[in-house]
Amino acid sequence: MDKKTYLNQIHNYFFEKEVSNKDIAGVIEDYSELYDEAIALGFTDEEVIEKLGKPKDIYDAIKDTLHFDRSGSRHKIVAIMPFIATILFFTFGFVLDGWSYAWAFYLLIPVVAILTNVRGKDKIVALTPFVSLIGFFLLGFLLEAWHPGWLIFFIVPVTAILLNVNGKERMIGLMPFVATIIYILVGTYVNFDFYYYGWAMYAIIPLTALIVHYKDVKDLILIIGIILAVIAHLTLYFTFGELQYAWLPYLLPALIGVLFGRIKIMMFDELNQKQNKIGLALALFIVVTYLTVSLLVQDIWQWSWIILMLIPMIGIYLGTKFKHPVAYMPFISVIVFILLGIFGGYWEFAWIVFLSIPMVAILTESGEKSKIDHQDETSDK
Amino acid sequence: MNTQFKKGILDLCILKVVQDEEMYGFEIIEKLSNVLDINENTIYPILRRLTEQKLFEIYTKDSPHGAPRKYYKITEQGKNRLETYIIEWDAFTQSVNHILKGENHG
Repeated sequence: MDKKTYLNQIHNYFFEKEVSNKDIAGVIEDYSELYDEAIALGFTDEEVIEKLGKPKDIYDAIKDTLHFDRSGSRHKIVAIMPFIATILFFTFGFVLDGWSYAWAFYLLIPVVAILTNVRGKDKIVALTPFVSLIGFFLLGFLLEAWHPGWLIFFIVPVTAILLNVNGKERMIGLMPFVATIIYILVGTYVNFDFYYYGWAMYAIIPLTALIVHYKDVKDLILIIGIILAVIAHLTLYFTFGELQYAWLPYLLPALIGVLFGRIKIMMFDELNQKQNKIGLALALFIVVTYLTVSLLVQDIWQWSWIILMLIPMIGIYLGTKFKHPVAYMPFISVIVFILLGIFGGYWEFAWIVFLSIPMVAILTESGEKSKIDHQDETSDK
Repeated sequence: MNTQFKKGILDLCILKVVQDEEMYGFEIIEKLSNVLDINENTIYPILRRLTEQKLFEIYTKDSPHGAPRKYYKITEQGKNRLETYIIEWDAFTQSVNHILKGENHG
């Protein structure tokens, strides 16, 4: 993390706590100065941040000296949105007979709450579940592309990676999503058999990591090992029609990786943050589960993709935990919506589940939040 | 050591070092954290609070690192408060010393 990111984090945290703009500017000015002075003394960015503390600790330490801006117009806008959404809902329903999509106006409530309460990069990331949900339904209703339209939900983790991970790590972080998008699109639109052999392209993930972090000849041997395994896998499939043991060639690079200590390096050292490692490992596990279930169980493709909804949800959990519970709701709603539709045939009513999104937004982003803030302040006095 | 007690002592120390010499934030932090076992994150909030209480006033001066530095200067109110703190501190340490030397048992 660098100075700009650190100061942005402080700014965003204080903004969310509704600290007055004047006080935020003062704190940022002070911490900018402290940061520069510490750097001038020869400390690294990490050491300075460690010394100066996390935004929450700073806030807790100085909140009795801060002034708050709670009269804010932002609360009024958020508070009025349920009424606006309801008016739009009935207007479009009665006037244009648009009942099938009019419920989407209720998404305005969390969207406006995010637009007015969240700052910086977090705002873009927080909006992606809604953008992807709207995109998903447009693809579904207009083009009947529910599958592979769900791929649009990858916007959530991809945006988070693009905005929060820099340099070479960004490319490595994006690879699982790139591989999955290509795999699913080719399997769906070009050749269904690609589902059976195309997973070889996931080799692109370790290959990218090895090339990006190339150190010595051991990496070269491992790269060759992976390429040979892919060739062997494809030869087994195309020449002998072998499906059951097609994974066997990958034992070679796996063994080489372990012997050279590179598998450990790729999984647990190179991907800097612990969160990235857990996220990537879980994402791959979910994709493997999805593909296994979909290939083994007949006619499950039409809804088995809901398993993949877990990927952005894990991404949100690793990024913000339960700071903005509303971010999970589009995914939970989609899962419930699809299950109600497919297993109960309740398509015409199932959309009601999407009302849970603004409901959660109201409960967690306005009322509860200010209550917690209030408790925070009073408990320290 | 009790946090409130430590905070009170730090108020006294910060007022004293700034009275002796007008300094910028990081300089105060460095000076005190070298002598007392405390980190940067403890001192900044106190500087902020004391300024809020008008015991310090702030002025800026150019720094060689780019942005101007914020210097802290003790106010008359700050000097009075420091004087009170020193009297209280002297009385307190005297009482503690009496207890430690067993003089009050005699």
